[in-house]
Amino acid sequence: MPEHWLSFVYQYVVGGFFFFFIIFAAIRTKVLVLQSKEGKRTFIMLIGGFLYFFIGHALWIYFVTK
Amino acid sequence: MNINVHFADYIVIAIYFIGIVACGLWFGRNTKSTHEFFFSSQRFSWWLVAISCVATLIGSYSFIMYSEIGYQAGISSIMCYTNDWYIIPLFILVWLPIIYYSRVASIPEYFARRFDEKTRTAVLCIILVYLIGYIGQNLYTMGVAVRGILGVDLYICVVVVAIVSLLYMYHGGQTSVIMADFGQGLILVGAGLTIFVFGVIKLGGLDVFWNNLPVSHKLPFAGFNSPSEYHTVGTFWSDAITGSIAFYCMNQAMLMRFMSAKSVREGKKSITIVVLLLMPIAAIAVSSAGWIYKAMMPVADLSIAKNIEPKNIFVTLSNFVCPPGVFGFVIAALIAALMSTVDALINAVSAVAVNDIWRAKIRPGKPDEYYLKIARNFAIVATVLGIMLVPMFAQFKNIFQGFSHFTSVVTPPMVVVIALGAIWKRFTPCAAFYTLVVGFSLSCLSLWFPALVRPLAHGEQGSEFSYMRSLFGFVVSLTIAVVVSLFTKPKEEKEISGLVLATIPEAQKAFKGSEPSEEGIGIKIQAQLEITDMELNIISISEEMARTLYAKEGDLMYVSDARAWTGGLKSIHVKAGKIHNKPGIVMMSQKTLESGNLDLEKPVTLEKIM
Repeated sequence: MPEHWLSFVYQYVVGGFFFFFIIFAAIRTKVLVLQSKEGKRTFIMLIGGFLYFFIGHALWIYFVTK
Repeated sequence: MNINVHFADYIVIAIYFIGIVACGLWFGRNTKSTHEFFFSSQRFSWWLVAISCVATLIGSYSFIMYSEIGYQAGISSIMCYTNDWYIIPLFILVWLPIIYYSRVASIPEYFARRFDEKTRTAVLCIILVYLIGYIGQNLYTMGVAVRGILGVDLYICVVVVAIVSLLYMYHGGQTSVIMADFGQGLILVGAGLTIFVFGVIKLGGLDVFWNNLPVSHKLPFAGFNSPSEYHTVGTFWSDAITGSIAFYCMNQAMLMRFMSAKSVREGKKSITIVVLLLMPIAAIAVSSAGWIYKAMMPVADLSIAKNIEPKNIFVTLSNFVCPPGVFGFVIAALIAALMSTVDALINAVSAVAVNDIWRAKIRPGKPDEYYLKIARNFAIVATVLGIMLVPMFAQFKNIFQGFSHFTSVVTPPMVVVIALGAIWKRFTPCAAFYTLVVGFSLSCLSLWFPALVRPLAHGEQGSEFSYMRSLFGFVVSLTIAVVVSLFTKPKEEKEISGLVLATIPEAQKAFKGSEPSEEGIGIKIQAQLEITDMELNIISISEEMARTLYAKEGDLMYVSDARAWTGGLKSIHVKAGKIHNKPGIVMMSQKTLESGNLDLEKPVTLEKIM
């Protein structure tokens, strides 16, 4: 795998582990309740933020190296 | 460095100083209690917290250091500013609700309540060394930079800037800090982007800038594990994971900033905007000088030094591309970067000293005015100690380096204890204490025996492993924490109520004083004020308001000036009292009105907080 993609994959896999682990723990302890309006809003915001960086970085690398 | 400073530049710097001090003094004039001095009575809107937070985050070293990295590594210099999102669930879902609803006033206080007094004392020592050392480090780096530009004596520069920061902080506490930092945040980012724009114009356009950069300088990530000075895996562990958790959860100044938000919901909004929008912009502002300089290298027409010392790039390039006056604005930004960090740190030292030493151990049970006076005295002490560190940092480089090593070895165990303490109920006081002490000791040991880090170094070819030491400290501390917890007794669940993830609903209930309800949260309505004879911090709302907001007696409400740009400066947290039948009217006592700095004639916005 080219080094720039390795950096990308490492960061999102290991960072993603920390990210989703906390979300999972919050859902399990019912601190983040997805049925509530506020909980749904927070969840969408968190996932949206993750995708914003993920897609942004991926497209950036793709267009620079294509 | 050959730097030309014009008269117009000095004028701009003078205007900046006068403006910031006036802003800090004016907005902090109503500070009358320690709650206001440390937490601004928890009244601010998300945008004030967010922009001031960015100013605190950018230190005096940021422009110099990231321009250097930007020149050497390219656009990947933004990595440190765009990799915080992984730990945001920890902050938004766990840490912020815990500290806000449990009314934690300081990081050591959290350790006392979650673990024990012994752990609090250990953390208190670490935090005070960290904060005061950080004040000294910022003063020193700013002094060196300004001396290089203006030729002013290092110590005169340090003392003047420290006194100016203290002047408004002493007067208004957190409110002055937030308002001054709001202004300084705009100056910082504005100056950084100005350099980028002038640099691109000088180059001949964005396409020239982009085409002149080598491919390696256009990527958003550095090499995976090389060069040893800056690589992705090292930055990930030292910055994205331990650095970010430390910054948002361990830094007392940040705790106080987010405690100043009017609600947890508002704090969540702030951090989201900071990380998604403001940090990427700030990244461009602090590192673009390095990118521009690199892009200028192949251009023969531009008379720039080809063998420049990378640490001089920011100042040299700004002086080269900015016209007189604008360069003064850039120097002001450099000073603003320092003052916006130092003012928050001074306030943080003062909070820790009052809450964890004076109020907790030396003189408990005194009136609030007494502690406010002590808080102001500690602000002076913190500033003096920070200034005293500067000659030590200047004369003994190993002390300066030693402080950097101290923060690098103390951060991983602190981060592990904070994160596990907030998430895992089974994490014991004994395990927390040993994680701090043994984790710190083993991390220190790795400074003398870097080979200890090698198994976790991800193939890094260096010999110091300064980046990968964070992962080593993290793994060692986590192991100690888990193993010791399994063999020692945890605290009773009722003793840690509200201090661990699973018990956050209990903290919410205790914060409100009754069962919280989500209905009506986020709805805002306008109203007119009316003075009546009532208890302090209680309001009476109309039936129609109660219906719209789903509010009932005992609910926590927030009344603020209807002009959104006031950002919560004129506002107050109150409880809903009896419901009346005069539509559009909110009734409160004269004292409540004055306490919130509200104007009787002006319309207000009413919302339900909980």
